[in-house]
Amino acid sequence: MLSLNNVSVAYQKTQAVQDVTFELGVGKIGCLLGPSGCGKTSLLRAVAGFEKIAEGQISLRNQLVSAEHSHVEPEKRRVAVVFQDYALFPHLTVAQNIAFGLHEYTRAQKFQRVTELLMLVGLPGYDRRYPHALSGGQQQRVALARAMAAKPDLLLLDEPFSSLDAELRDDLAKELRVILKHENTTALMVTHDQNEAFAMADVIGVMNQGRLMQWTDAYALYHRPANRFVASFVGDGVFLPATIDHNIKLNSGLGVFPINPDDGFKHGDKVVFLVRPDDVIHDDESETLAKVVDRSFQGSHILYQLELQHVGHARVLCLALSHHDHQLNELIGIRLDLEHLIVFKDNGDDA
Amino acid sequence: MLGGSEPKSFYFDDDKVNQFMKFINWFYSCFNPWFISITLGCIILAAPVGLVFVSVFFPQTEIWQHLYSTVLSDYIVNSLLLAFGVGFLVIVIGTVLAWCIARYEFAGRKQLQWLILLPMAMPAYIIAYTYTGLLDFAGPLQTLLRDTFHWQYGDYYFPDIRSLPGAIIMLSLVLYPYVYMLARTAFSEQPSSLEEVSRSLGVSPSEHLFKVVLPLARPAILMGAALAMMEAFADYGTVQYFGLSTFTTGIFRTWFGLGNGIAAAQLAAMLTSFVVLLLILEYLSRRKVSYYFQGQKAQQVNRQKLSGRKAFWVPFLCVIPVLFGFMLPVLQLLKWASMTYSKQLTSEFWLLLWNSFYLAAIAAITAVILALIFAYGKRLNPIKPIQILVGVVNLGYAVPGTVIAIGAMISLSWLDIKLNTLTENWFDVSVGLVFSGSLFALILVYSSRFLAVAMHNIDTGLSRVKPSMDDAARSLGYKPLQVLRVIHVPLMKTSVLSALLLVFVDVLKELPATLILRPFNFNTLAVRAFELASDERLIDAALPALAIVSVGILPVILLTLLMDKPSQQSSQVN
Repeated sequence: MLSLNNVSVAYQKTQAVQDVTFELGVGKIGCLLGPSGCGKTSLLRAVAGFEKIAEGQISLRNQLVSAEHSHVEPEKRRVAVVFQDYALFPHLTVAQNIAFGLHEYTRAQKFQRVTELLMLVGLPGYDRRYPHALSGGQQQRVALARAMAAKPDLLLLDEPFSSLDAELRDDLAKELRVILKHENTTALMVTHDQNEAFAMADVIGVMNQGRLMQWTDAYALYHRPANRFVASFVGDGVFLPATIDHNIKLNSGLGVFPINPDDGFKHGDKVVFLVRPDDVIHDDESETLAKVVDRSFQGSHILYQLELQHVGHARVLCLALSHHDHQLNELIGIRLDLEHLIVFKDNGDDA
Repeated sequence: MLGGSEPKSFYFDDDKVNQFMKFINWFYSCFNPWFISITLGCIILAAPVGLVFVSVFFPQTEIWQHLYSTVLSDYIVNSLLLAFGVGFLVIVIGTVLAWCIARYEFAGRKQLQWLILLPMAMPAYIIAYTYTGLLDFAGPLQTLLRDTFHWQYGDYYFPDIRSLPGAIIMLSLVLYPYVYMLARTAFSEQPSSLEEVSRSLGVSPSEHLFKVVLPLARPAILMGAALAMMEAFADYGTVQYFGLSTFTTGIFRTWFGLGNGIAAAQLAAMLTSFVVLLLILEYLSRRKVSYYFQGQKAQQVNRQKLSGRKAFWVPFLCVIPVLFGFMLPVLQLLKWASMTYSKQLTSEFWLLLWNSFYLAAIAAITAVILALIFAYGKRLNPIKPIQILVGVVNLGYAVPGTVIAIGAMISLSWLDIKLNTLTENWFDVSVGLVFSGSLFALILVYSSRFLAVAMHNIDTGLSRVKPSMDDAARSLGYKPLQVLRVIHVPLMKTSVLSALLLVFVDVLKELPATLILRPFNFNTLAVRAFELASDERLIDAALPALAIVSVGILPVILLTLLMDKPSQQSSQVN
């Protein structure tokens, strides 16, 4: 449906997006995830046609829509956008807003489609209200209904939940996924919140400094990150230093672990490996001790921050069941349970 | 609140006891000093206009038959044509200018932004007589035409500026900034995402203009047009100078020509009811504007950079109104003034200047003090009656100066007659025209008409002082008066000063009420300029006119400074 090939976007002299390539299949929900300023919104606007691209190609339905010297205007693309601030037309009713893009529909068809969409987004009977009389969540649903009304080939969502309360976000994210799947809509959204990305998307692309770091599903992103940035951006975790021993195994102060021989590490290589909170198991039997330096009670679990007693006093996170109640400065036993070992060359970089 | 009904038996009935206690509390709250002084102030300010409407109950059959069979239809038709003509023209000029300035980037845009406002400094009667001088038979334009083409008198047709279309053009040239300011804000506050939504939904930019941009800006444009039309209804100087029969000239003629004050007041009441319709239009538009732009951050729209032919004619188009509405007339006035200033800069002129300035200063201080009392009263006692009272006196800006002046004249001369009878009976002296013959009458009328200007600024200033700030200062150990000194005075200073300045300039420019109510032998710049021009002494009128225009530029500068702050709501400004 959507395919990007070596796309770059530039504003005057600053390069916002560099060399991005990915594909999104029909009915899939894609998500561009990254910190603010990483270029994800620029990329979204380039797909919508609001920005011209400097290099590469963007194709929709196998038709070229953006290239270095050709540009299909946004109104010709059949790409609908849900904006961060919703951008509802304040002088039109909810029904008029939703019907705004229904150009070739008769009156009756418009009415039918609007009613259908209001049902779908859970706002039946709201057709005559004006946007200013709606709550934030309701406005967002209307914006979604307006974007989906004309059955666009691709739906773009720019930080769709950022102006909503935290509570509302999770519910709406799930609901939105159900709605999109129900209409079999291909969608691409942009967010900086990985929980939204996990809740909504089939495929996630992590972006940093204008580049697409990885384009894959949530599971692979978490367990097989392509580089240190993705590893540290997605999920919690810390990198611990280690060396590769003569058996081509990873040797850290916390134990020896086998690594994938295909990764190409040699004896004596200095490496770092990722330790996630769920990799650190609290075990009173263990001889490896760590000092509790911080704790946060989370109901069923307690998230401990532990200072290792060797390995350069590095700190790791440990998610323990909450009946293991330890106080600050207490020494507790831990062991590592590394199912997916994530190892990168140590280039002295902390990222 | 209890809807007037007396609780009959409230014993053992908690609900009714509560209601009764509520009523008692409400009743007492009405007797605090704020409420009393505000009520009194409002009654005094509203009395003149109220009296104008009371006059309707004293039918003057004979004179109305006369008016009806002769000039009444002229008054109505001409006033309506004038107002609607001005409304139409200011919408066209103001909207086009606002669109160019808000949406295009071109050479000189920054300078034009405030140049466009300059015609506001120009009272309509001054521009009217300046153009008369410029365009009449002996004026520079016709002389040039005759010299170039060797025409003689009668060889060519030349439109007469002293006509209804002429008056419409004159008034529009100085009133379009109302529409321009409000429309500019409306255009530049539309978020760019609206256009992007349209495009993503397959709506082309030109369709978007008619489906979204203009409908969204319409309330703001209509609001500006309503304000300009109110000014057109209120205008006396231009129509009188052009010899047109409208309501305002009719009111003057009925009173001073036919000698019937009550019939004049009845005409004034009729004129005011037309204005009330405009007020309703303005109110509805204002409400819509606040809905449309609710919760939207003011943001900078990306302006389209112009190139090629457009880059030439857009700035050219934007210069036209200010060229004709300000620069040309000012040049003409300067030329005239340079011919006469040596013999005009006499003690008579300095007296004129002094009279105008101290009258305007007293009026400005009075209006601002009243506005402060009303604003603080409203804040300290947020009860319905006070809000309604203040809201009503705030409508004074819509009432034509002639109308308020007629009402003040009738009520104050009645008061003077009563007072004199009283003093003659008791002390055997007559005190003369204490109220109607003194500056008191003028100050009353100015306060009534320009209170809204002061209120608007004071309210804006006071809204910056959040009630929690008072509480915070009190809890940190400040006494109420200290709070006033360390919190309110510094925060309110600029609003009070701008309120003073705006009222000062408005009073300086005001003509019809001053003409009616000025004490015998008391002249101001505006009155003198108008009298000289009416006596066909256009050249002599230039110096006082220039003095008014140059002071009138001050609020334009102030406004430019305010408009540059994006968060500042563009306001109804005179």
